[in-house]
Amino acid sequence: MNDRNNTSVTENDLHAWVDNQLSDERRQTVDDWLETHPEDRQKVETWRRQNVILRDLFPEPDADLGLPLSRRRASTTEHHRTIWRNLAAALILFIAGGTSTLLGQKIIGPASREASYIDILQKASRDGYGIYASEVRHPVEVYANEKDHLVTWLGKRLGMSMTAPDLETQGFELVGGRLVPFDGKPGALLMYQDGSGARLTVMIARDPDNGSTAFRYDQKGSIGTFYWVDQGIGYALSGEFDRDLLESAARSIYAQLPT
Amino acid sequence: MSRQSQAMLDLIPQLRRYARSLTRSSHDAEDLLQDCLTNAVENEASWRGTNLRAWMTRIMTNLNYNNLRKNRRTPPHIPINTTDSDPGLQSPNLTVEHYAFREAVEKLPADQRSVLMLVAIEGYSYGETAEILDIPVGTVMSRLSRARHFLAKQLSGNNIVELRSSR
Repeated sequence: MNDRNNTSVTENDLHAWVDNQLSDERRQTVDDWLETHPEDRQKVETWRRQNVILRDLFPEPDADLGLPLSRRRASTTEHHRTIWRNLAAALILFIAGGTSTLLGQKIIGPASREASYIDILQKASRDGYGIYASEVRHPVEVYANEKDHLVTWLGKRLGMSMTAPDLETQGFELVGGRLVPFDGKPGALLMYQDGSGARLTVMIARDPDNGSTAFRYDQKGSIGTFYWVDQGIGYALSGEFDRDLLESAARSIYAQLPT
Repeated sequence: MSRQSQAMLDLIPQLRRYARSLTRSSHDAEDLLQDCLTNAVENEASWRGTNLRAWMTRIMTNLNYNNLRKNRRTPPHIPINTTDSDPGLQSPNLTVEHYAFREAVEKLPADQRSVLMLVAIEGYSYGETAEILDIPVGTVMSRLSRARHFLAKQLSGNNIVELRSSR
């Protein structure tokens, strides 16, 4: 029987085509088949892409990492580094929380409470950006592919209705979000990134004093932060972008808030 | 050191990659690798002298199944920040798509995951995979197929790249 005329290409043939496990002749048959079967073409393209991603994730082994004992030590060091990093993150947030009490009640007094909240807001936003935007493997707890779950969950924890602002006009897509401690209460940190992978974080947290402020901008090192409080909810954007871009993103978020 | 022990040591990088592809963190992977090496040395006598890499791959696969059976209570989500970034996962070329994919892989049943990794990462033929896992080739094909459909489903329609156009 002439293979060219054999139209019974099975799903197993498609897998074997993707994995380069067909004879030349059979491969040609499947090639021809795919010309006229777009659904199967779509399947093999998807699977081929999966193989590429898997090989990116688990690249060719590095020969000089051979000895297990040295690697074991390295692995332990990595583990310790993680612990240290988590500890550092916890400390920063603890200090942010502690400062609030100190500034809010003891030093500045009740009249300046709003000022202290807004200071915490911009600092927590900058710290959140600093800690999580560089995180390669776990930048967020919940990814954007579970967007509905993400906003419901964060909204529930913050005790407010929440949506993830759309920043496509500024060239950012949502990566996802995480729950973070904010002045002893739950806060939400959403993460966006642009086409080049540069990230922008949006911190959202309730203001216990139910205030409202104008837009403010602060820059520390390379990190710029735009922040404001609107009807008892604080928003802060941080990223390593120029002020105009951050402001445009901030205004876009403001425009999307329920009035 | 015996010739065989040296051969085992030479296989470590490849076995480490396979261990990584089966586990959720580089820490778990190192543990699995150590167990595999220990087990292989202890059972050297049962090696029939054919393909050492395939034999050790089989040992590792079985040890991994045992571990999973022991830890049935494994949570469905990857715990946050309990693992450091794998050296293999720090490449600057990895995108959000890769990380979403990595999470989807964590949800794959273990038997499908081993088949997929042996074929896609380790480059074994379907026949070799069947031999290593001691299952019929037909079972290899059905697990491979289920794994690929599962991953495609996890990532299609609502994936991060398409969010841009779907609004």
